[in-house]
Amino acid sequence: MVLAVGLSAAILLSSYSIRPICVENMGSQLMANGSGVILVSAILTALYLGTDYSNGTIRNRLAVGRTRVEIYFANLITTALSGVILLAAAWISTGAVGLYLGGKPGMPTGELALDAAVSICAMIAFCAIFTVIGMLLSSKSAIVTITLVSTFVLMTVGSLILSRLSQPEFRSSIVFDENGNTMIGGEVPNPLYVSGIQRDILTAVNDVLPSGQLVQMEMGEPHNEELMPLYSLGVLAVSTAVGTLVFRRKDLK
Amino acid sequence: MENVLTTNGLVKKYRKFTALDGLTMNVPKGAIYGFVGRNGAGKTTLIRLICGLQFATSGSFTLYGMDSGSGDISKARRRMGAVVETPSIYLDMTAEDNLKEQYRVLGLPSFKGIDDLLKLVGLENTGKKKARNFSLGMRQRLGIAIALCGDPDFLLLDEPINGLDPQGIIEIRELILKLNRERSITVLISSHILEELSKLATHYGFIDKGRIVKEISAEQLEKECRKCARVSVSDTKKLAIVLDAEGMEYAVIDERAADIYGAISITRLTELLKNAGCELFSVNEHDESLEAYFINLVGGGE
Repeated sequence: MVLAVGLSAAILLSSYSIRPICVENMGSQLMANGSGVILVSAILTALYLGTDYSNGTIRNRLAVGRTRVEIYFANLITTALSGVILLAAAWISTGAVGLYLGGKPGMPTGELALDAAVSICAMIAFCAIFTVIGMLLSSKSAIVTITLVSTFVLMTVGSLILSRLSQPEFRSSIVFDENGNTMIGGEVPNPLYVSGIQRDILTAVNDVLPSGQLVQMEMGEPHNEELMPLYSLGVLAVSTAVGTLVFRRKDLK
Repeated sequence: MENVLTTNGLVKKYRKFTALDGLTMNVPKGAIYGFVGRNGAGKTTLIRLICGLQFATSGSFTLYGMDSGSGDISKARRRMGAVVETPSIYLDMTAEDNLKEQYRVLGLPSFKGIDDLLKLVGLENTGKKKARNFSLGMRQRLGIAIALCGDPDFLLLDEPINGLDPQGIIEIRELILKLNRERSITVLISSHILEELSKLATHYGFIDKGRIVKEISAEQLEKECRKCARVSVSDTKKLAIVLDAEGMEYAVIDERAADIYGAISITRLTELLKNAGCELFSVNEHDESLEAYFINLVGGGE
């Protein structure tokens, strides 16, 4: 919690020191903390679930008749709640610092509420993925490693896809005259621009992936924002179904 | 006699390795059931299956009459407590907090009874000391206290005295006896420390290579343990020649001591040994130990 609050306040202060005008749009600033909070949540979730295996305390629950589905859902709810609380703590700290610096919301309340809903749902989807990893691996070190690597991979994939999708279709060419001076020429097709079905697929992947959603929120250019909470709920449903199915038959020590 | 636990041809395979090979056993109500076997014989695997940590490849078991395949097995497990391998405790919590956590797991409405449990296992004065700083014996007792949180009728203890010092062993033994006598808790203890088990168990199940080789009550076992005479001589090689010639069964302990099974005439033995040039120093009547019984049952070699 302290880490999430400190990290969020530090992000805002660092943005403010470079560009003081940033506090004029606090709404965007609030959404810029997603990746940092996800990372903190990944570490906490991995340590929490890993401790249950390393201390053997998961045995205490099974041996007294708790079912595996109950245990799975109890852990999912705990991790999702802790993720949402971390996110809320990050928002509160950013908002408090922003207000202290004379910040303003900078966007309509409805838009801010939708952004918040997207972030919360993306956080829950991330926590569902962390829970699958934490429940299906039995070693604390493996859980921490795989959770962190998965988070980095997902965030990197989200950023890379957004970067490719953000490429302009055309770009200005640079030409040299006879004297070697550079001149701006006409518009030429951008080879990095993704088009056709490939663009549709990348757009869909980035809309569905919680990391893609958070990166879009951070960049302030979310696509299909209204559908994003539904996509996150889809990720939650699929990961939980896979997690419970495998965990139900998993041999524990 | 009513059985708390009955297993029917339990098989557990880990890829090509068969840990349990058609294991069938019965744990009578009110018993302290000593589950005896070598390391790797399948003791912990069976306990894991009963606790629901793992699933049998084939076969089944009934716990309080409820079949392992039925949905009601979880209800039966609520009458059970277990310490599997190492005590399952939160190391960063105090003894009291560990018990509170287990109360929450069980969904108990209040923390009433925690002080009594701490007192029962002798951890009432640990205060704010974290379990991380507990001795192995204290951790083991805390593990047992956690297993007792739901007021179980059946306690499964997997190697509870492993690694404990003599004082710790005595404390655990006294605690198990107290639980069995005062609270009528049926206890299944797996162990390969046979001497210690013989001080507790009312029933035994001997397991080898994933199968129960023999189930026997402590009373019957005592009858079946063969009487023998432990003799002390100047040279056991000469003693062996004499006993072989007489067709007697024996086991050489060392260069100067041996156990002779069956009825022997001390006069005749003395005479035979004298003729063989071997001096007889002493003869003591000696019961066959549980260890010897087990070795005879499963064979000494691997």
